Amino acid sequence: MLFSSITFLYVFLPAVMILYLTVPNKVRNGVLLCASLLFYGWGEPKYILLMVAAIIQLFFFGKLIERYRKTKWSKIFLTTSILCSLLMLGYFKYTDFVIGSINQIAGSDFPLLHIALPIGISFYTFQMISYAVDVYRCEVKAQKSIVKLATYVAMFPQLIAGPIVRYKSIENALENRRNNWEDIAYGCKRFLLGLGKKVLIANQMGELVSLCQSVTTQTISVSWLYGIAFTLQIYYDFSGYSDMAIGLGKMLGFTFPENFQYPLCARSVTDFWRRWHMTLGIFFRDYLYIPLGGNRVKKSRWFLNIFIVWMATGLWHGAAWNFLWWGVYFALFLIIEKTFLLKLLYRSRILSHVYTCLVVIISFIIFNGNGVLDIVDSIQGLVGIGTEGVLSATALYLWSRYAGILVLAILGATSLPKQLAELFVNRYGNCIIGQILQVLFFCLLLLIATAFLVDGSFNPFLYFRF
Amino acid sequence: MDLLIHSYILGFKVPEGVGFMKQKRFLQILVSTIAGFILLLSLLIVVLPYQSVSESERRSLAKFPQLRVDAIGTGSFMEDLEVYLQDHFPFRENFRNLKAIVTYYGMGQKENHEIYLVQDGTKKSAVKIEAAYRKESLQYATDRFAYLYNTYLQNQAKGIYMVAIPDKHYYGAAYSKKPQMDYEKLFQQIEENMPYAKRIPIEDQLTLSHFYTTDSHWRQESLADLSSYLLKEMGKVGGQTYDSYFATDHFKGVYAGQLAIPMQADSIFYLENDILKSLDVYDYETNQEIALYDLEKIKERDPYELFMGGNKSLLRIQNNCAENQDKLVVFRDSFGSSLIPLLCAEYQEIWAVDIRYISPVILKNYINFQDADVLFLYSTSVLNHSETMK
Repeated sequence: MLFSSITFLYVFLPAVMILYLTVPNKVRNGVLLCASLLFYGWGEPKYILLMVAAIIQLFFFGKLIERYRKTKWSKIFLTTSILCSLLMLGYFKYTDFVIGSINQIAGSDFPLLHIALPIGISFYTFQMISYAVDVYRCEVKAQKSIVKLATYVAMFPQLIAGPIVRYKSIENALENRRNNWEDIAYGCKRFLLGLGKKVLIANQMGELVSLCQSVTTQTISVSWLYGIAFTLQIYYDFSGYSDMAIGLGKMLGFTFPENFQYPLCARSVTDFWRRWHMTLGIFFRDYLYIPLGGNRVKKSRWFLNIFIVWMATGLWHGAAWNFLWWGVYFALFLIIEKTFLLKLLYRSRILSHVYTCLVVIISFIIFNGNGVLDIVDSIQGLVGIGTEGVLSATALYLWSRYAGILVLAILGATSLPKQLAELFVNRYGNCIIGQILQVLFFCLLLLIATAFLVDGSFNPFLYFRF
Repeated sequence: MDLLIHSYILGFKVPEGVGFMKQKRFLQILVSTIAGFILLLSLLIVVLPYQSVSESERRSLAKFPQLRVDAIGTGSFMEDLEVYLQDHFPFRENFRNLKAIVTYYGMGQKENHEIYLVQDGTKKSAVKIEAAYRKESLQYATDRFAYLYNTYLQNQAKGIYMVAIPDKHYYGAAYSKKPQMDYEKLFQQIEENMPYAKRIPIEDQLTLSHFYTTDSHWRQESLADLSSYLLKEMGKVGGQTYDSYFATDHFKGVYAGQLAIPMQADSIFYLENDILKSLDVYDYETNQEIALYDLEKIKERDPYELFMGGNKSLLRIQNNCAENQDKLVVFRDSFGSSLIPLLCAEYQEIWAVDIRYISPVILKNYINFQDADVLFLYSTSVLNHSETMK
């Protein structure tokens, strides 16, 4: 079930919220867990048992890690739990990638297993690993209630697409939380803003990406349009989903960590990754980079650590070689920046920003590529290799058709909306008109997003003949 | 936008004072309003009467999916339920209008579902973009025509003609700068694939004004000159005159529904003269005589169906006032419904065949093609999407 669907917005969410807010506090985790399992089973009926089995494994290993603390068994149980999670992820996500790669390299012909990837497995396995490690490190106590632990792992707001929530950040809320009007209102507004980002901007950019890919006569302008549109699509899709998740969490009484902080305004790749999918970056920093030694080792080892972390980051995003190259691409730029480029970049705001945008756009072309040749063609198209000129009638049409939404998307990715909102609140925040306008704005946003969702089943015929 | 919420909503405290709501009260109203909208619409999904058809999209709306274990196990029940909820959402047409207005004007895309508006005199005409020339579709269509020629027409038909009716986008693209398929290539391909037929070009005989503003079809009252031109090209005299009769001024055609932006309705007129009034029309689908113009249809879903009863697979028209025994067989799409009556004056027997609804294989049971003039009359949009031809 997607957040941006009629089923979720007008069936699941109202039913769950009414039930959740009316039952006594002590029952709320149970309600949330049942709703989350229903949510997951709705989209992935086959693999609900897999997640339940993973939770049971985590629960028992968590208790064993804590019980045998300060003995070698604690580490053994931790390792076993992590291996269970990684093996599960590895089997479902990477088996066919490994088989396909062996076939490519060795020229063999092993058949692919065509294993369906359970939704959200990349997210909830990482959450499970973080819980087990945090218990081992004595940062949190092992959860005694399997219901509460299951609620943490399976919680529907962040189950499918993050943010990756550390157990310690919601440990207290699992035990004792209260809903208040401020949190519910904040959650509503955050959710609606995320919905607008996803439905009104990300989906439109997705349409544009498809149109660019189907153009028969490639030009430089279409190549750039494709890169920009995909960058904006993935940003608004992902950050919109994070906003919805954070908003839902708030409505339920949880505070999830922020996941994006104007990443497209970054002035270096280093800066970009402190703003983009922050919870993933923090996870890899705390659970892979630092245990490998981080930057507190000799330089060659430091660079190796960066490569390992970024290859893992790339592969986490997808089981294909282009994701690996994507990770390596960023590793190279990070190393270059850390060795000498960062100091140069910060001398010029504009140049550093242009540099970062270029690196990021090219990275997402790699990310979305369908094989090496496709990636090379797309990148070459940016500089005119293999294209038929700069402009074409199709290019002009696409640029003009999507100009409005492109401008909105680019401006929306900056702090400009925030600054305008500040001006508005400073001027009108004290009066009733400002508050009424706020209500109207969010209601209109809900109605327009609903309109776009409803129109999703548009399927016309020329004649009434049925 | 990422930190918008933090500073704007949480970071700004509205001070107490006369003339504005307390913060908590305001938040309660905000949440209640949003929740109220959602709950109301959720309730209306259940309460409102079931609609079976979308008039604007001309299709049946999705039925509630069957609750079966296998459908739940594969997830198809959930997918179908989403489609059902989208199809039966309360005020669906109003929401479609809202989406169209936001897309067309708000986002400045100036099109919705590949349909755009072009100024046509004092009114705006809705036009569908035909951006890509689908060679394989045209090949399929002309292969079916070749089957008809090889099976029925070779050494039998007197004259074989082909008319490709340019769709509205042929004329609209010049004003809109929207991408356009290569029509010249399409026309050239037709001539190459149909060497047995004489193509009669009509592109210069038409303008956007010849078409309804809300529909894909042309207006019959504007076709007198075109019909005369075609008859002359087919070796006839032409030059018939007609009286124009008003049918309805509430015609909102197929594009109006798809575009979903409020448009002024079209008026439908039909042409009559003494010859047209005397024509007998036989419908082989219902095995009965029908009227040339069925005025009851103007009260139904698609008033354009008043012309020859709409989409019929096989019609025979008898002209009892004919001064010869000539026969005309028209292989056609829906554009033919309004043009064919204007070709009848100089033939005794006229056949209207739509091979989207009848298999060419069985035509031998109905039509004798000996010495008949044969006219292939298809719009470029049908030729470019010929999958439904049998």
